[in-house]
Amino acid sequence: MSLSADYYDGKTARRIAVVLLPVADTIVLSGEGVERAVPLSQVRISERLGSAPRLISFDDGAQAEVRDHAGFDVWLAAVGHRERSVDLLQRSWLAAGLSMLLVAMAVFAGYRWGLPLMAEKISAHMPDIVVRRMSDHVLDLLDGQILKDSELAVGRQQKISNEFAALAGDEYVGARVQLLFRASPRLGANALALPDGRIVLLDELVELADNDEQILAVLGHELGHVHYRHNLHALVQGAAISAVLAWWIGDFSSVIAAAPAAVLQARYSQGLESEADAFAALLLEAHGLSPELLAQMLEKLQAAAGKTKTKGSKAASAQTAEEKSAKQDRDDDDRWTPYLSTHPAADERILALRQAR
Amino acid sequence: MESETQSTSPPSDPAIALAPPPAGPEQFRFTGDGGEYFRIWIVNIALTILTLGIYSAWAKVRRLQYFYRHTEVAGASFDYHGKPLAILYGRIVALALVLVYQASNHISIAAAFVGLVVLCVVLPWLLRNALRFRMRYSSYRGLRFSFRASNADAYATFLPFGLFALVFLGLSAWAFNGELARDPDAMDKSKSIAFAAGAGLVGLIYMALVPLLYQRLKQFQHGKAWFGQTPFSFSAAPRPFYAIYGRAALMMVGILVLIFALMILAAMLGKAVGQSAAVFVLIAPIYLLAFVALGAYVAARLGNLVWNSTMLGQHRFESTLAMKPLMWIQISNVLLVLLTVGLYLPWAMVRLARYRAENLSLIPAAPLEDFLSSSEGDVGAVGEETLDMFDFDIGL
Repeated sequence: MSLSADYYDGKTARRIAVVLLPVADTIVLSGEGVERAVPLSQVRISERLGSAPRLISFDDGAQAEVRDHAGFDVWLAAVGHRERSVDLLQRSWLAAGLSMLLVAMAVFAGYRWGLPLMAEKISAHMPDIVVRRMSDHVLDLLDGQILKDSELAVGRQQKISNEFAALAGDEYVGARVQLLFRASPRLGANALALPDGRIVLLDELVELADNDEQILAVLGHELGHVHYRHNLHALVQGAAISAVLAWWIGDFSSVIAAAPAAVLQARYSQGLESEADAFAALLLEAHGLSPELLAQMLEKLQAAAGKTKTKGSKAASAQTAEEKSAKQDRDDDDRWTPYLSTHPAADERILALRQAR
Repeated sequence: MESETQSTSPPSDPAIALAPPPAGPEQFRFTGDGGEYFRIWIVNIALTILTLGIYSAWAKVRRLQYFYRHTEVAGASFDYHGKPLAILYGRIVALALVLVYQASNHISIAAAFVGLVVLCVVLPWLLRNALRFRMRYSSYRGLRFSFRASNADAYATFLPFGLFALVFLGLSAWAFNGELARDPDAMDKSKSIAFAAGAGLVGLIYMALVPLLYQRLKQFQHGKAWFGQTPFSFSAAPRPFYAIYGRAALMMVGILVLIFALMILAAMLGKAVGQSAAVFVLIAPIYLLAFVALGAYVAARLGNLVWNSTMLGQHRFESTLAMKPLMWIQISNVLLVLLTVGLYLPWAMVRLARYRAENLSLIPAAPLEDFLSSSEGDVGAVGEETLDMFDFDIGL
């Protein structure tokens, strides 16, 4: 029982037909002008990769190519070579099924727990100067595109600033947090938090509120985003998701890699919104105000969005706009909506605020 | 396809196998199978996850070996010998580079500019090392390939393009850091027009340089490669590259005009029905299809041009890629990969590899058996890994 193979001496590309003999622990081959006997330990036998030819590589660069897989298996047994364990794994459909399960579990766990944890760690350690630069950049962009100067009287601005300073306390105001006034017909009633702690309050929101306490409730919510560094989380998570997707699909088609990132990322901001709501509720209560104020404000925002929607003027959605819940479809009870939307249904948040007490 | 077993005589009579093969065209063939590769692929991904990514270097070697060993020409297959540890080391360096570059993009335009300057200086060196590594560890019939370009060659070829990219970005940086972005209304009218014209001109020149860059890249890649002691040569001038890109650009203009006309039509229709979404539903597939078709056209024509202009010693290559089959493979691959959450990927890769191999032939001028081997020392794998992560295509 011998096995035929193609032999190449590593010096020329000449093909020599040879015969491999079944001798224990030794590679013995012979053919036209070639006689070799080499201990098994001194050659490398390539692992099985589907139907590709198997290779026996010698130290001097010579190699033998074998295409008869069944014959090679018998010959290998006679010589005493043992296949590596990965070989069995790579051939078995069971191993393939288990691998799929493992990959699915790892993807889910990484997305559900690993990514938020990583984002938290990275954003907590991001140098202040980097955060400040990024925020400057975002604000410059917004100022050039969708934000206009505030038309509120200076006295009114001062009053809100003072009230906000009293609410936030020394821990935040001055060092990191700063209140900026802008107007934006395109964004409507809204407030946004920049990564470095600056909070932008829009005139439209001031006009929508019945009283200053309601404005403070929304600012408390934004302060929650600042406190937990939510903007940075979202940024880091977004970068990580696009990197993973690019790796998975990207080498194949980079066009489709970009699209799902936005959808997947939306899932996170819900948890972040609820966290900011809870922070605002605590802050309001600590100052003798009721979390009910934020619930009222959310209802007003929802109603305002409903009106603009029927008018058909869709508000432009900037990534940094925090109060997107205002644009939420209220009648949508579909279980999937919370996963596809930037905010949990506003109703849920209102309910949570009212139950918290 | 099935006549894959020994084409030569029984081994007891090796003299017949020694007879010089006929000097007719030798078609490349790819004998891999999707289901077979799927099992290897998914097991390697699982092992990569279990080892927190470390195994990915081994998985990469296995992937390349699968594709090399299943590619045959003239009765013998290719092989890949890359060392996983060298690749792992390259991956770590590459990851660090990508992270720094990404971070620099997030800080400010000035930092991104510095990042790009560094990248421009490093990239030619990386490219040359990547090609050297890839060729050095590829073999056919026991003979290694090699890539014999010096760093000076790499810089002379690519640095001018890098400098141009820097000028391009420098202009943009000036625009965005200057008054333009901050307050477009307050900006001097004449100045803004001058800037728009300048930026537009630079952008056009930049686009006009792409065919030349691609020709230079292929000239570098194919022209400096060796098989054993036999050099490859590359003879295509920039002109035919411009012809292909030019035709593609004209087709793109045509498609855009058509889509624009369709959009107007659909908008009128949509208004009548009262559904603005109808416009998007109607236009989007046409738009995507048109661009996949255009991509397939460019890929097929460029592939043919590059291989038909490449020689190994006095032996020619012949490439017969066509737009329609390539387009069909690409569209169905994309759809199936999306539908199966990526699980179809191994089949997709095998299909593409098979089509490309079956449309490439070696046309020998003399018996193939006369090549002498040469030997060369090891090179690090850093270059190759970095290019992988920056998404450069360096197909053999």
